[in-house]
Amino acid sequence: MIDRETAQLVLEQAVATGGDFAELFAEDTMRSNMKMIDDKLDTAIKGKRWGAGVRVFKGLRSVYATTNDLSRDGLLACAKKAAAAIGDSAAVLDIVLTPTVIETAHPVKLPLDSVALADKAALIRSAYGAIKAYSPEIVQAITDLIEWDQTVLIANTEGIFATDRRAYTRLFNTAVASDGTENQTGYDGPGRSAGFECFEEIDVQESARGAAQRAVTMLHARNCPAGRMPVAIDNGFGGVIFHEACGHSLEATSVAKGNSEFSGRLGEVIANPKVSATDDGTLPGNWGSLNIDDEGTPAQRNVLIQDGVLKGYLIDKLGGRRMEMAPTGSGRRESYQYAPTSRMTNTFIENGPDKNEDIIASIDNGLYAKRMGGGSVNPATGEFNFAVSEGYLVKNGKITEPVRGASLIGKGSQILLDIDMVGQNLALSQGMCGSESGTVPTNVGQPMIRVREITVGGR
Amino acid sequence: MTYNEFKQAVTGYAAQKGLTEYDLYYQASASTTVKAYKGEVDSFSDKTALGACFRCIIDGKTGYSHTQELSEKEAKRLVDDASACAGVLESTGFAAIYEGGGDYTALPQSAPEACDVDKLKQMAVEIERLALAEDERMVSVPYAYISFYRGETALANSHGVDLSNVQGGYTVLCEAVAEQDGRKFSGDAVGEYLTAEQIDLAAVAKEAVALAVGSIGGSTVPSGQYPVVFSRRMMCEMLSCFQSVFSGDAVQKGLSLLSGKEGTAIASEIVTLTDAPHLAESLCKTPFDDEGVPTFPKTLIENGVLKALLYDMQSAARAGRASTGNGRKRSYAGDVSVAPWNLCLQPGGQSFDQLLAGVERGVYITELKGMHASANASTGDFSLESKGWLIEGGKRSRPIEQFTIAGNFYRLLGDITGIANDFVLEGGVGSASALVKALSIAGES
Repeated sequence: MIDRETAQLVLEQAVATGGDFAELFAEDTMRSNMKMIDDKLDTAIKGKRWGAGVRVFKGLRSVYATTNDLSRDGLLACAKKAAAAIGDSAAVLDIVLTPTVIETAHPVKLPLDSVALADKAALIRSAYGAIKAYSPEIVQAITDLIEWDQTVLIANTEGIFATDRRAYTRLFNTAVASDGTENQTGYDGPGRSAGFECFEEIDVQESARGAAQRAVTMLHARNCPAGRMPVAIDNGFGGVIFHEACGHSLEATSVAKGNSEFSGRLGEVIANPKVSATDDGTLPGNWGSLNIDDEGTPAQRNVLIQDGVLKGYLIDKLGGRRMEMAPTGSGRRESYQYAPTSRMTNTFIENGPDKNEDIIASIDNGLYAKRMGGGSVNPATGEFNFAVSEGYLVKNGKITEPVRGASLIGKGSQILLDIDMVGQNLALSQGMCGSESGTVPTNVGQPMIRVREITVGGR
Repeated sequence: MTYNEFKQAVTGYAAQKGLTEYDLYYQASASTTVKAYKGEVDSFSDKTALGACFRCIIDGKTGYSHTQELSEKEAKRLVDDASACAGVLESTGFAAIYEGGGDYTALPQSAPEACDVDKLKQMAVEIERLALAEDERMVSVPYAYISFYRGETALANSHGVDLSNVQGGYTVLCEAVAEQDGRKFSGDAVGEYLTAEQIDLAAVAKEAVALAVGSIGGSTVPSGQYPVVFSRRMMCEMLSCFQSVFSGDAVQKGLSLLSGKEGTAIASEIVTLTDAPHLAESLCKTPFDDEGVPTFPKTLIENGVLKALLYDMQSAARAGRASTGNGRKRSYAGDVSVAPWNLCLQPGGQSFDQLLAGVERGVYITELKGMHASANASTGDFSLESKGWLIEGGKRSRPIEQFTIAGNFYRLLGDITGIANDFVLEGGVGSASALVKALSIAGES
C-alpha cells in the first residue's frame, strides 16, 4: 500500500513542527453486504474503503488528519496539515522504521473475494428459509451477510512499520412474528474474525431458528412487570452487562481524565469476590480478536478484575501518556476516519463456583434473562442500561412464563458488588461496540450470573 | 483523478458494457473538530473524506458498488462489481432509476465555505470555561467540543439527471460533570448552527450545566403509571428513533404497523407531523433525494389522521404511486432506504410552564438512554433508562433518576395530550416538549 521510504517521509513531515510522536495508519478494505428480505434476495453491495490518517502528539495534545489520497504527495499534504496544527517549533525526533512481520493468529482461508456470490446467496437462502419455516406466525425475515477484509499499514516514530490483515464475517438473522395487530422480533448474529470458512463451524440454520423462536415466544409473552428484583442473566450475550456496567468505565478514554467511577481504584475491591473478568484480544479467530491493535501494539490478555479486585485498565497510547501506564493492545478504531482510542476486544466474566440450576433455584420471585440485547453507559456516573430480548419470570425457584419488553438499569459500581452468584457455562457472543473511535467488533461473554437486585424496566 | 474525470470514466465504461439504467452518487466532505480540556486545545482533527457509489439495474435487479479511490481501475471495478451484484439477486419487479424532468426548489445557499480555525480553538476553550464558571459544583467538562462540517453531494444518472447540493454548519457539544458529596452528576447539550455568527456557546454550556446540577440529589421514584412530559430534545429523540414507522417500504414489509391506516386516526387530534426537506434553519436541507427525485414538504399526520407515508422510487412503484423524494442513503456506501429529511412535530400554543401546570403528579423526562437497543420500531415497544424531575402540583418538585419509562410508540401517538411552543430542531428532527397521558415507570417497588 505504502512503501517504507514514503512512510518515513510522511512521519518526518508530521513531526517537523516539534511533535514528539507521529503515526501513519492506512487501510485498504473490501466490504460486502448481501441481504434477503420479503422472500427476495434484493440487496448486494460491494465496495472499498481506502484512506489514511496521520496522528501527531505533543505532550498530551493530539492532532489527527485524514486523506483518501494515498500517493506520496497526498500523504505528505495530510502530514503537513497535522504538523501545522500541533505546533511551530523544530523537529526533535530521529525516525528509524523497522519492518515487522506480523504472524497471524487469525488466519483467513476464504476471504470475501474468493467465494462465488452464488455460494453466499445459497447460505443466505438456507438461513432465511429456516426462519420462515419455523412458524406460520413468522411474517417477515431478514438475513444479512456482512463481510469485510481489511489490510492496514501502521508506521510510527517509535519505529514500527507493519501491515496486518483482519477479516470479519457475520450472518445476521432477524425474525418478525405477528398476530396481525402486534409485532415482536428476534435476532441472532453469529460472526468470526475469519473468512467464509467460519460457516463450517457456525450452524446458520440453528441461528435462524433461534431468532424465529425468540420472536414467536415474545409474541405470546405478556409485558414484563416493573420494579426491583433478583435477575439471573444467562451466558453469551448476557455478558453485555459487564461490557456496559464495567468495561467502558475501565477504558483509558474515561479513566485517564478521571471521568470514570473506577479512576484511581487499582488494587481495590470493586466487585463481589466471585467475579473475575478478562479482556483477551488473542483468542484465535474470535470476533473481537486482533494480531496487533490499530496503534501497532500486539494484542494481549488483560486481567481486569481478579476475585473482585480491580487489576487493570484498557489503555491506548495517548491515554497511557496521561495515566503514565503502558498500552495494553487496546488502541482500536472503526477506520482511518477515526483516531484510535482505548477499546475492548473479547471481554468476559470468567466461570465461577455456582451451578446454573442453583442460581435459578435461589430466586423466589424474579426474572431469568435468557438473551440480552445491546446497551449503553455513562462512565462518569456509571449509569448503564441494556435490553432483555428474551425473558422469563422465575417463581419459587422455577422458570415460568415468558415476558417481553424489559430493560435493566443500574450503576456499574453497585452492580459489580451485587453479582452474587457466578455459574459455569462461559460462552462468548458477538456485538458491535460504538464509542469515540467508531464502531468496532467486540465479543461479550459470561457464564450465567445472578444479580441480587436490579431495576427491571417493565410495564 | 478529479470526480468529473472519474464520473466520465464510470459512465463511459457503463455504456461500453451496455448498461442503460444506473446512477452515480458522490459525497465529498471536510470537517474540523476541536476539543478543549483544562484550558487548552487538547485534540484537533482535520478530516477529508470522499466516496462514490455506483448503482445499476439489470433485469429489474439493483447492484451497488462503492469506492474511495478515484482511479481508472476503480471506475471499471465499480461497474463490474455492481453488475455482478445485480446478477446474483432476484427481481422485486419495482426497481427504477429516476427519469428526471422534475422541478427542484432553489434553496438559499447557507453552508459556509470554510471555518476560521483559530476562532474554533478559542470557542472550544470558551465552552469549557463557561461551563465551569456556571456553577460552583462543576468539577469537569469531559467534552467541550466544536466542529465545522461541509459536505457536497452529487448525483448523476443514465437519464441525464446531474445534480449537486452543499450542506454544512457548526456543531457545539458540551458535557458537564458536577459533584456533590463524592457523587458525580452529568449533563450534556448540543447546538447546531448554520453560520459562525449564530453560535451560542453560553446557551449550550448553560443547558449542559443545568442538566448536571439539576440532577444533584436525585433519587428514584415509585413504580407505576404516570403522565409523562418529554423535554423538547427527548421528544426529538423519540421521533427520530421511531421515524421508520412512516416508511412506505417498512409498511410494505410488515416492519411498521401502519399498513392500511392511511386516512384513519393514528394519533391524538393535536398531533400534526410534517417532513420539511427545505426547512431554512436545518443543516440537512436538500432540493433532491439520494435518487435525484425532487424533495417537497409534506404532512404525514394532520390533526391525528395519517395522511401520507414516505416513499423512495422502489417502494412507490410497489404502491403504485410516485416517490415522495424520501430515498435516503445512510452513507455514500449504503443502499437507498426510506427516511424523512426534517421530521417535525408541529408546536402547540402553550408555554412549557403551562404544559407542566396541567400535570398534578407526573414525570418530566430530560434524559433517555439506550434507544439503539431498548426501543424497537418494528414493534413500537420501548423501555428506556431515564432521568428527569417529578412533577407535583404542576411544577418540578425534585430530581429523579434510576428509573425507566416503558410503553409502545403507536399507543404513545394517541396519548399525546399537550404540546408546548418551545420547538427545537436537532439532527433533522424537530419538536416541542410534549405531554403523554400515561406511561409505565419502573423505579422502586
